[in-house]
Amino acid sequence: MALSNIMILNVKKGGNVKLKFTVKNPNLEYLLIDFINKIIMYKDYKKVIITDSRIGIKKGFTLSCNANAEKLENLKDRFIVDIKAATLHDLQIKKQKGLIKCKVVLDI
Amino acid sequence: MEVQQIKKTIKEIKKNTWESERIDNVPIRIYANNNIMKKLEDGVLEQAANATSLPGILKYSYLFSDAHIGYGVPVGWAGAFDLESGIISPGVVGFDINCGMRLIRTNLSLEEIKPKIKELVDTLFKMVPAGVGSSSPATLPELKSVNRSELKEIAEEGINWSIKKGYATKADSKRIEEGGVSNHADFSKISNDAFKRGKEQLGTLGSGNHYLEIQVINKDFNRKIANNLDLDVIKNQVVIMFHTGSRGFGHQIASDYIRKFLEYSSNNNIILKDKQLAYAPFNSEEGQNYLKAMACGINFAFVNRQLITYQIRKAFKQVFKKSENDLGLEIVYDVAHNTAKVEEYNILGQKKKVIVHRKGATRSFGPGNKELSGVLKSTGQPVIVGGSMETGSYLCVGTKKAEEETFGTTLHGSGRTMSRVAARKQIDADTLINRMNKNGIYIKANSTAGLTEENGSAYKDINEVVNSMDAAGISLKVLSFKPIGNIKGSWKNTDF
Repeated sequence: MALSNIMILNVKKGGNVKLKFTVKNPNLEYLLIDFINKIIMYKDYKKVIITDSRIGIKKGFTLSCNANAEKLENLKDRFIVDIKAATLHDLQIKKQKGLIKCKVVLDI
Repeated sequence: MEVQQIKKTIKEIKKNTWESERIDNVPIRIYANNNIMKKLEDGVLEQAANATSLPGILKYSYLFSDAHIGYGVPVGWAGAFDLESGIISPGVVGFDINCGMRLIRTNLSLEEIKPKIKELVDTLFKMVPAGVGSSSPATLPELKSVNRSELKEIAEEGINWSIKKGYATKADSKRIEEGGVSNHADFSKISNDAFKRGKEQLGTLGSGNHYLEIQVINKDFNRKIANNLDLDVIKNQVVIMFHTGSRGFGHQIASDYIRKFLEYSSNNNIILKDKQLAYAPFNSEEGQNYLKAMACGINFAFVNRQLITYQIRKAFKQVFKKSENDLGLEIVYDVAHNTAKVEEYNILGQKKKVIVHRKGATRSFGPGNKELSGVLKSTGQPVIVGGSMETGSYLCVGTKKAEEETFGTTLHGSGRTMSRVAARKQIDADTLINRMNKNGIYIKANSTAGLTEENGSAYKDINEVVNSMDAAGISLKVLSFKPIGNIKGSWKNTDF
């Protein structure tokens, strides 16, 4: 959702395109980057923005994502910026007050 | 070595040419005037210093006058690596592989084009899809959704595919860096995700700092070279300049191989100063696989710019109702920015092949270079320097000195002075649009956010960055241009 909200103003849940995918990476930081890059891939391939998702991470760092997405065409009036890649620049994942806080610099 | 310590060691060794002491394997070499040096960000120096640790780096970690912070290495950076002991790095090449500039001349003058500038920009806007989610032009149905074997042909053959399909001429290919084709390309090294991202994006401009501009020659600095390139300030001649690259296809190749190279680093206990610098030895299987995949990205970008050229030619014919010959729509040159290329240089009196990484930097070959043909053999390779959409651009030429000092490399653009977010906060869209209209620039763009982040003050002074390289003798000024019409990545037709 954070990613979608950078690209589109006021993203609303419940897009009517269904997406299902998995990404694998034994390193938690890189798994996050792979996950974001997969969402970016679908943005260009299916021309959609994810509106909401259910994510599970299994042992061995396999991330499964079931997502609802909205066609870009329907969001054109709320477009802010195009994201083209997740970078490793200044990448941070840390636990803070019981939450996991991530910092990812995106290429736009 | 800490940045503050590095700064203390930097000295001007000759006009606009600065050097640090050796850091890891080599020193940093910077081309800039005093003013640019004073404003150089610490982060730029830190990234250039990190690059000195890369194995097999030769002579220097180079920064040019347009340098600003990038991912891994700065934008406006170059480094050459030994083929035996050196590396290849997707993060150092950059995400938008062969992001580049193309300059097209016309026989039209400002007086001829002015009454039709709106119609022309609007027509170009329709014929050259731009912005997020845009697909190949509807008027090129065979490109609407290419299959894997078709994209293989495009990515492996580059401009030769365009010639075969009637989108380019042989004369076009002679005015493109490397003749418009990287022979290393091997599509089997491309992921399915890269194919999926790229298959509908050929012939599209993209978003961000990608643009298409109608410009008029503003001033000449070397009339002889300009005239040899069929460009003339006296005629108030109009040109077309555009900036785009390998779109999602190139980005996906970069992301795929950064991931593979991180795994390689981990498996081989390589400690990286910055993860974005992940590399593999040039001669390793992994390194060669990336070279082949990156070459596909290079070729994709050449074809992308060629298809846009094809559409530009159609748009001009439609608006001016003249033949292509009468309009004189010929490519002056096409340069690549984000690449790694095997090139040969004299090092300590011996000819040696090296892999030159250029990140937001332009090849700058001088007169007589064997890569150049026709009139370019005497003028030197054209270097197209894009400025901000408000301040204009330059045409320069490469020099022998660049081949001797910088592995034939120079600057690529103005260089940002602030982030896109900061630029958006700096000026409101109405003020910017009014200012541009007042300066005689007609613009079509999508969002006001996208427009304001590219405002002129978000960039360094183009005159200063170009003059810095000119005074250092690395690329020489030929002409400056001012914009009269601009198209930026868009969702919908929006007039300003």
